[in-house]
Amino acid sequence: MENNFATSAAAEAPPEPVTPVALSDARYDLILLDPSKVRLFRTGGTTVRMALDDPQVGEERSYLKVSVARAFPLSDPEHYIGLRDGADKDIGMLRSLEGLDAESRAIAEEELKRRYFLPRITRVREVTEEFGMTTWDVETDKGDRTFIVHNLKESVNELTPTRVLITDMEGNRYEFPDIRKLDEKSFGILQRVL
Amino acid sequence: MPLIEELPPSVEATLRQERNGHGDEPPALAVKADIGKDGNLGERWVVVDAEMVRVLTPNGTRAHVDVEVPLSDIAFARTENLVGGGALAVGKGTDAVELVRFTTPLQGRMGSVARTIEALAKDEEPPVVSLDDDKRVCKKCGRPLREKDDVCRACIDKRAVLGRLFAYAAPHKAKAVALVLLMFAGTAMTLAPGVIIKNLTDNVLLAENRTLSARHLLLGLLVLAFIGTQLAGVVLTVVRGRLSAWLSQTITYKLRTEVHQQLQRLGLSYYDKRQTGALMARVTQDVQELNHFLVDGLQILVVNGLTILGIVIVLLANNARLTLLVLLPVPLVIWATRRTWRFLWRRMHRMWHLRSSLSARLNASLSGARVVRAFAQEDREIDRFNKRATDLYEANLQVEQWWATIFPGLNFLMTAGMFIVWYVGGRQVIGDVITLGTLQMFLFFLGQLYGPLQGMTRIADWLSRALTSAERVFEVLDTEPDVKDEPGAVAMARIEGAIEFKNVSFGYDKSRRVLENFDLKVEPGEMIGLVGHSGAGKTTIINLLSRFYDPTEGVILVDGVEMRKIKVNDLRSQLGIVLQEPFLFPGTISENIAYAKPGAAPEEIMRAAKAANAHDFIMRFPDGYDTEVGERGTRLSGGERQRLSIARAILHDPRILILDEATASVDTETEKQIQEAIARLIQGRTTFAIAHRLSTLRNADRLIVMEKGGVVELGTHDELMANPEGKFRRLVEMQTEINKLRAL
Repeated sequence: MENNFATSAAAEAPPEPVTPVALSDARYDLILLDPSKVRLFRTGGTTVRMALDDPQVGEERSYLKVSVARAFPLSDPEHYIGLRDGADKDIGMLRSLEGLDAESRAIAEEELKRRYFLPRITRVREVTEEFGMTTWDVETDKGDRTFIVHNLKESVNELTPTRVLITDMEGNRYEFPDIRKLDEKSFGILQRVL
Repeated sequence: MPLIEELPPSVEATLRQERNGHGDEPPALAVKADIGKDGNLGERWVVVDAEMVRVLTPNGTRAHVDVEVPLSDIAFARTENLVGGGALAVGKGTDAVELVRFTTPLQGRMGSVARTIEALAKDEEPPVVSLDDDKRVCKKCGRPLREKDDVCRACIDKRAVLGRLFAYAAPHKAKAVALVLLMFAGTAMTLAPGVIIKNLTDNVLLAENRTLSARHLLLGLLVLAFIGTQLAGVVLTVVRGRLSAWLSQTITYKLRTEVHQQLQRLGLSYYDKRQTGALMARVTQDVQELNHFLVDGLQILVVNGLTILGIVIVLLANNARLTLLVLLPVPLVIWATRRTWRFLWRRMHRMWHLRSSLSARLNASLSGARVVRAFAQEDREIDRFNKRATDLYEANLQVEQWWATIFPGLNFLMTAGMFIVWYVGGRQVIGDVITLGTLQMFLFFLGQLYGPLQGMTRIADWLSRALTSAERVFEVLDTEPDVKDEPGAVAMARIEGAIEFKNVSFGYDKSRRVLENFDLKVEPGEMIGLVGHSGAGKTTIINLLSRFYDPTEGVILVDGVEMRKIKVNDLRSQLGIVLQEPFLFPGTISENIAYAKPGAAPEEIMRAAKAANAHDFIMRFPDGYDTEVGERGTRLSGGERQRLSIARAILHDPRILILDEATASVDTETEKQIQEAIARLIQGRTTFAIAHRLSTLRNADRLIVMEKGGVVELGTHDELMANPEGKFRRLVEMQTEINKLRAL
């Protein structure tokens, strides 16, 4: 089991950190799939299907419904993409989408985009405050939006000093990918409110 | 011998007579019990010498011997817990004889007495105990303390504490000196107008013998000087304020970080004796109190003091008689102010108390809204609230009205000095003893005097509070960590995992042992299951193993080396603990898993999570491994937290693993998943597991059944089950019965 794992990972990976636990059962081994053995496709509809030929999982497996999920959607969105079966159980992880064939990669990217709806705020038009609620009038990469934030202090998540997530009253999230890259007026408003 | 109190003469005399020359060596034990023979509070003495245990009641110049038991007759000695107190008894054969009774505070001490008597009877070395009790009183003056080891407000050496506080300013000597100079200069500026007013009146307004132009010139100059001193005063105040803010914040910052650093270094036993809240208060409130004092208190103290001193000196220099007359009402004002504050304080305290009781009631009735409705008790809740609201209304009203009444009165008292100045000073002006300017100056200074005076009446209280806080903070800083590296502690880069307990005894406080002569030898990689009722000593073993405490007697060997001689850090870094209630820090899931190994690669984290059966549920969270947990973040179920903590332990890769009730309080399916995770976690590690669900210990190589701090059964699961009379077997059978009932 471990041998198989090593061969599939060796192709592209930096030297593996030594696995501390003696693992005896594949179900509890983290499976990093070989992207060349993964093929995603659709059969007319929108359901994503997968054909997998990775010895860690089994030979020539096919999955009728597959979803993709990021392990670190906020801190490292480009790496460690999980492939999950119809019961939302882990099939295996991809280190990144690189190495997938073009069609599979396109599907994976599409699916990720569908799963993670996170408007990025490109411009702050106005923020008004009343009774502890702030109303935000913003432009995002997904269109213009007005939202209300209650209890600003607890709704703002500073991932890094420059990257900020903000959650509105209804639970929608918006991202400032880099507040320094905002225009001067937006930045000024942000400095004032946060 | 430490368990000896000084005998009163009557007991001493009777004892000498009783012993009748049989050994005149001092008694081996002499302690006072505080309940008499009749069951009322009273004095009785337990005295033990080499032959006899005696109980004596002092009675005038003699003492009555109530009980006499030869040591050779005694089989055991024990204390019995009663309500509000306890009893000390010794056993002869199967029967027991009560020696004395005592109130609750003596319980601990009498426990030691019992053990000492037993040891003496068996001719063993008596345990090392001492009289020093843990009463919550000040050791110096006997005043009660709010909590144990608190600082006595009456006894602190104020000068020493203040000195130590000032020592924190030492690195900034230049700034501190500048601050003091600024205070002097500032005071001079506030006093200057008085002198200017005097000159203005005498040399300008009333100086009709001078030429008009000279008077105009002087007027201009004096007004300019007036403006100048006021401006200088403002500038000085600003500079002083900024400087003082810098100094006090710097000192506060240093104190705060030092206290926290020290709290992190102190062993867990320090935390046992104190409540977390009280410790937090030291880092936050006490330091804050000091900060207040340094920022405001000290300035007010010095500036007010200087102002008062300056005014009195200037006035005395001008006219001693008038000054003394003017100062006549001062003691009265001070006295009245203090009385007023005390009077209002009491009422304000009542008001605060009522206010919090009102909100407590409100909280209960609103959060229990469902219950209130269910039992149709709305009207009663309304009544209760109204009653409290009425009380608060009355208390508030009282305070406000007293306030409105007292303060005008106080103000009147303060103006009393003014009347004296006008009358006596006026007569002196008419009599040409003083000039009108001097009178004006007196009036001015009088107005300046009372503010600082009132401030000073409260400074004593302020100072004492601040110094108490300082002392509390210093107490933490001065505490020696009780578990620390001994000189010559050896490094141990990789522990194999052989562990041996050799005759280990331990008690959290000296009077009560929770572990008695515990022996155990564990091979590397072995899994030991600990079974027993709560209080049997299981957790204590784990605490000793983690070296949260050191054993009172005996040694613990790790790979043949005494645990005390191994560097604490080396030991702890190779020790993993999975607790019943895993603690998650505020932060993301991946940060929590990597707590013991910061900077772990994402793959390592995921691998550990996968092995802990956690990967799947983590990936189901929208934010995956970036999900925030802790107070602000996603609420995790008990089983999820448990698996995160297992993942944490797997990543930590310890050589010795401790599982403390790791599967308690989760459902069966989750338990299965956790069991699987644990099964993988324990491979190749020396493991100690505590579990109430005995089935979870099936994989253990050996099981230890504990009772009252000792081992009663030891063996493999099958061995223990094979014994039809065995405790373990009985426990398992009981649990099986219960499970059957549940299944029905």
